[in-house]
Parts: sequence; C-alpha cells; structure tokens
Amino acid sequence: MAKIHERRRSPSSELMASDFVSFDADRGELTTRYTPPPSFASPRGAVQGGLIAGFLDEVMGGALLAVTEARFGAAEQRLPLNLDMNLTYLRMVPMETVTAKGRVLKLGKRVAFLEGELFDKDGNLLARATSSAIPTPLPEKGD
Amino acid sequence: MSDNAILSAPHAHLMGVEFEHFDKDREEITLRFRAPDSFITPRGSVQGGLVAGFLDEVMGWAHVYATDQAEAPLNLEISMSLLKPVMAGPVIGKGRVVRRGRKVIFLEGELFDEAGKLLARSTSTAIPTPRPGSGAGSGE
Repeated sequence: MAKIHERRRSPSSELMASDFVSFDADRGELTTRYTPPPSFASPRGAVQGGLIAGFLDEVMGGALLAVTEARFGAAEQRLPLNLDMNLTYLRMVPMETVTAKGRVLKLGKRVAFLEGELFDKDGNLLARATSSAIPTPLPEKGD
Repeated sequence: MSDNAILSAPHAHLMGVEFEHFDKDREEITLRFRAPDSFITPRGSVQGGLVAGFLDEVMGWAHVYATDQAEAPLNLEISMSLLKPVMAGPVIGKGRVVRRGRKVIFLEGELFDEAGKLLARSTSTAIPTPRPGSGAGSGE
C-alpha cells in the first residue's frame, strides 16, 4: 500500500490533484505535482494568490509526514498544525500542472519549521513558503 | 458599483463569496464566505494554506473598493497567523487597506466564525495594478 504522503490523503489533496513524484530521505525533501482545478482561477487567469498557499501547505505537510516516518517509523508519523505561514510570490502561477518541493528545516518536539517551493514546467520558481507548525499525531481515522 | 463583480471569478464561486459591507472611511470591507467541503484535511478543518484563499480575497477586495474598482493588488508577499481551525461552512472576513501608495500597498485581513471568534489574520504587501477586466489594462 502506498505511504500516506504518496496518496491523496484528504479532500483538499484530491481538489488539487496531488501526484507524488519522489521523496529524498537524505535531504528530507518531498516532490509532488499539483494541477489547479478550474475553480482556482482568478480574473487574471492564473491561480488566486491565496490559494497558491494550498499547494505549498500540502507539500510542506507531506514532507513532515515523510520525514517523521523515515526517521521514527509509521507509528510516530506527524502532521503539521500550522501556526503561521509566510508566502513570497515571484511569478504568476499558471492554470497548469506545477511541481512542488517541501522540506523540513528543523524538527523539534514542540515546533517544526518547514519550507516549500513551487516551480513551473520549465523549472522557474513561482512561489515559496515557510511555515512554523506543531507536529501532531495523525487523526485516528487514518484517511 | 456592482457588487456582483465580487462573484465573477471562478475562485469566488468556490469560496461562496458574498458582499456584506464596505466602510469608505476605514477602507474596510466585510465579506461572507462558505468554506467548501473540498478544502478539508484529515484533521477535519480547512487546510491551512487554503485559509489564505479567503484572506487574499478580503484583502484584495478592500483595495478594489478603496480605488472605486479601478485597481487590484498583485501580491508580492502574504504572511498569516492561524489562530483556530476554520471549519467547513460560514466564515466572515474583514479586509483593510493599511497604506495605499502609488507603487506599493499594504493590506491586512481577518477571518471570524459566526460567533465573532478570530480564526486567522494576515498582512500582504502588493503592487497596485489596473483591475483585470476593468478595461484599464491587460492583466497578466
């Protein structure tokens, strides 16, 4: 069975058509592709700025899941409860498949520091995010 | 000034946006949203990143209304704090223009539940651009 960070684990990841690409355990870096649904479009014809944070949150959360599983095993997997998120917008995010990379900068017992980046198909950096979050056990239901 | 403009974009339908009020003196707009079920995570609340969707909307419309619908912000940066989980269903947002310059504008936004509890807040630094579809510019 696919690991949780490799699956579409929630309605929100389903909405963004999350597709697992790879996980680099040494770097603690998760790569995922997302395809914005037509409902994410702004009047500019690109993804609404706020909703761009949806992709970045998804990949940062996946990175924490993957890293905690790789280090401590499935029973000790952690999901981030975000306290804050800071977003920098470098380019418009087009209404097409984008590649996201999420990393765990520091994993403490009480706080995790995460970062994420979004790239277009030519490898241009579109947006980046940092987040501080509380690592919490997975909700009971599992899915 | 048409309040229907608020609903013209696909993302506005997604978030169930409704215009409530604009205070011209404070340059503060109040909008109502309905957080959709598709925004929910395994935790049962709206995914943190997607909360920024609502905040961007209230901050953006505060700027649009403050300029009589002539301009819209192009975000350079958004920072947000997530104080409480946002649940699917009704959410109330307030957006304000903090400072409106010719080259850069500063905006802030807040989200509340129906009981008036603060759920999230944000600030944004943005560039003012001619509003897409207003005929004043081509947009991007």
